[in-house]
Amino acid sequence: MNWRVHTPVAAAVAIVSGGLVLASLLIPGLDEARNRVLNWAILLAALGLLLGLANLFRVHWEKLRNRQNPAYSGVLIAAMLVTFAVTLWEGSRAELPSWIFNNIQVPIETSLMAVLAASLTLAAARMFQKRSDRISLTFGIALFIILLGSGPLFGMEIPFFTRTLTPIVSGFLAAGALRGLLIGVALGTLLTGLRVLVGADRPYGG
Amino acid sequence: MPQTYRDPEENLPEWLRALRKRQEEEAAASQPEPPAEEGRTEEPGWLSEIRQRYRTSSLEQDAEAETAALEDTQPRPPGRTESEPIQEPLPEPEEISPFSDSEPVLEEAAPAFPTEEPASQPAFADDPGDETSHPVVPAFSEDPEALGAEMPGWLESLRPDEGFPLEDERSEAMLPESGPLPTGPLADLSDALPASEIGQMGKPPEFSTRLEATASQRQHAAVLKELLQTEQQSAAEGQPPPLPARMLGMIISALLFLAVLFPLLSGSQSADRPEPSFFPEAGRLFNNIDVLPAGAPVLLAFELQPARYGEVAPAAAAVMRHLLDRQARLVFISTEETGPALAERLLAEQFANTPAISTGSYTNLGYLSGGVAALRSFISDPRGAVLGTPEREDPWAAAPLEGIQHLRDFALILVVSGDADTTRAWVEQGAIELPGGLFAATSAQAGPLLRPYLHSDPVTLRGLVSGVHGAVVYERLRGQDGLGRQYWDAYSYGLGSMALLILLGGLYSRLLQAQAEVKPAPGGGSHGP
Amino acid sequence: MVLDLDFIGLLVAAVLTLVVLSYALGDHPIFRFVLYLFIGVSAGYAAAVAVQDVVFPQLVYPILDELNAAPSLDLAELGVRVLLVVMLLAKLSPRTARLGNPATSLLAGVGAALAVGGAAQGTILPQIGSAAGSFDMASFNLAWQGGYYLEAIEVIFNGIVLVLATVSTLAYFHFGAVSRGKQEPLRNLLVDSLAWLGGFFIAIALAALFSGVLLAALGALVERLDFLQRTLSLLLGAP
Repeated sequence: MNWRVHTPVAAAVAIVSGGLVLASLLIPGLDEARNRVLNWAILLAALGLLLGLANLFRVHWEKLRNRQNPAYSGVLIAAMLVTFAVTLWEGSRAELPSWIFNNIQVPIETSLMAVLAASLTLAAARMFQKRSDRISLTFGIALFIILLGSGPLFGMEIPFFTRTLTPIVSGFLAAGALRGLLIGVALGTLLTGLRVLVGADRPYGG
Repeated sequence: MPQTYRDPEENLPEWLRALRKRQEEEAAASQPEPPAEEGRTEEPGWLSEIRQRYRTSSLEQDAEAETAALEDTQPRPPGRTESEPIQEPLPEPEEISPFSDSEPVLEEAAPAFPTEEPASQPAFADDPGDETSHPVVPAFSEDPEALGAEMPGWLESLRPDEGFPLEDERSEAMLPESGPLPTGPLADLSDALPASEIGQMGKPPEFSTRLEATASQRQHAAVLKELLQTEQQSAAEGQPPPLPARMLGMIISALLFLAVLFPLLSGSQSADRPEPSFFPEAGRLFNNIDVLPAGAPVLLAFELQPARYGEVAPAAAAVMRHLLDRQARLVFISTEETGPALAERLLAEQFANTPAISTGSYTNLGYLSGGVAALRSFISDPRGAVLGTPEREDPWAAAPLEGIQHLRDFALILVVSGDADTTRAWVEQGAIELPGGLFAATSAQAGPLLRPYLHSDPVTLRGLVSGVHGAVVYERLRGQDGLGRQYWDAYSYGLGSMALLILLGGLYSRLLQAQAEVKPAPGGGSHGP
Repeated sequence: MVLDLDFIGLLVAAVLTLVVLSYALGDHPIFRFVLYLFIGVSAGYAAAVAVQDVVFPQLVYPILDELNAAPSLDLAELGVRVLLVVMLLAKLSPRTARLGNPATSLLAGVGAALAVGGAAQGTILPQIGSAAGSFDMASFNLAWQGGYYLEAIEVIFNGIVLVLATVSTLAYFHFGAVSRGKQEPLRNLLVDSLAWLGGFFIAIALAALFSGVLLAALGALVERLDFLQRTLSLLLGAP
């Protein structure tokens, strides 16, 4: 077995902290120690987010200085600074930050989601551009069955789809397959997590 | 939006009233009888016949089995103090994971025997760099049964490959002239003596971690690669897509927008609505809320991002209206930084005139930063979790929350979420603390992935309402119209036009492609959409 | 009509919605402008919330309390927090980045442990339990004893299909192969057959997921167009 010893401190921290959290799920009495470690992780996660955002600021600041699409970067930096200052100064639940959030951020983000309806319809239509094999054909047929049974079309329900065929496809066949996918993903998570916990994988660069 | 309040008891659908009536009869009867069916599709004739036959007989065991089978469809008493099944503790790590067996698969991935270039490579593995990440090596030296623990390719590709030189690279550097590398039990030890010099041992079966791809899988990979290259080229050259493709996009968008807009402008509310009996998961949520006593604390995990707000709001509002009508005490929390603000927005938009909201008789615990770590911390010790309270107030100081020490002290937990991941995080992290499971009101996007949790054993997700469709089902259960009804006709027309546009657009795309294939352009290139 | 902050907000939201929806007809500079505005606003909001809700209560307030001789945390705990923060900040410079490894390793360790525990307890065990219980034996016994043999077979058939869907989907992602010397590695015949079948089930599962995304986007579109219609009605003074 290949145990790397480049930076044992980092690996030891990962193994001990992870081991403690995992053990606390099985052994009672470790709650306080576990919560202490979790609080450190929470603080670090928040700081990690801040570092990421600081990097975003730095990148666009450089673009502004180098005159690479300076208008866009300028808008981004200005919006970032103003929102940060106002929200921090007044508190996220105050009137002005709420105004910015509700009238700028929410409409844009929801509208981007709404545009996706047209984009995905176009993508689904273009799916038939290529020749179909058994899997893409199955996908296309299943998609149609599910869509036709997801509600009334132009106000009218087609009971054969809504009450018979679609429940079989989406509630029965798809559910079985999705259970397989979930188990597979969970097994992968388990394996990857355990590798980190024994120090075999060191995504933190140890 | 006109809202007419009626007593929920009066609004109960026929099937639920019948269910209640039967339950009361059952409670009165001394002999246990099978409870009424609720929220399921129609019972087959043969089952009804048998049920009838057995009901008159003295087969008490069957009746109990039926009762257990239909337990989920019954209204549950409030709170979580009822006798709940004790969660089995997590088995020891050795038991639940074949890690010790699988560990050598990747870690000992040394070229223990000379490898040759395989006859055919997968289309996506033709990069020489891939050879190091998917070497053709014996993954196991001895245990063929451990083959099942091999990592799939996608997982393998997640492993960091920089800064972690593989054993084989070092081996080659260290032993350039050493001839064949050790095989057999010493395969993983790069500086070991070759096995042949010690003595020939029985040659173990050799297994490979190499990604095996069938011809069709290679074809798919090739298509994907081509697609990605095309996208990159298009983006790099800054060329707009061909005119027919742009036209198709514009036409689809315009028609879809018009189809949705028409019922909104006309104010139509005539589209058929789904029959609630086909959605027992919504019925279970309804039943559990409907028996909550006044003042029961309910935790709403408002895990919503702004992008999903518009779509989830109808379902969330329908359930929250029911909770408020039952005079439940709402407590909000979120591991999304935008969650608390969106919760306030929904309350302001939909419930500004509700006394419990206008008087501030609810608690917003705020943002729980730290993702899954914070969630774990909150689930195991709600009062100990770090909550964002800028004024250094104790959000738990509110009088109605005094009795809350553990998560199970909440009468009900509802996750309002835009995606399956956050709901799954609650389900997974709360598996021990919430053996009775929780409920969710989510985006339509999350519905399919959460469905398996509705039928898990032990139960982890007890009820689910997803998307506009789920909102309409829930509103029908309550006999009250809300946002779902308001959107339903537009949704119906949008759905119809989507299906039609995909079909017609698909035919158009296929036609364009067929034309391009039949008449190759003089320059050699063809312009498909 | 009063020109207050709420009304201005409504107009701003409506204009931004229109600009973003217009992207469906093609990309344009105003859309890009709005996109950058959105990124800036959301980044600024997230940063402020993180500082306000985590950094202040977890780090700044305890330090201030310590300086004011009214400690809210014991010194060792505060010391560890400060040390971890300093370590993470060391990641900012390539020269000191290595010093930050213990801080990121703590995050990785805790994250891995939570993922392992959650996956095992919340997904693997309940889903395997559910898959094992796919056969509704109570219904089967009832039908069989009542002489409804076809219905009993149907119950078993449903169970078989469910289990097959789960197992074949898992088999589809099994890429383990037996080496055959110089020949290309070969999968077990049973696994290969199951994987072939799994292809169909995965296609159906993906169709269900895709339709879910389509319906979610449709819901968002309905909400946005409803908002625009209501705003227009308000502007025009319609009831």
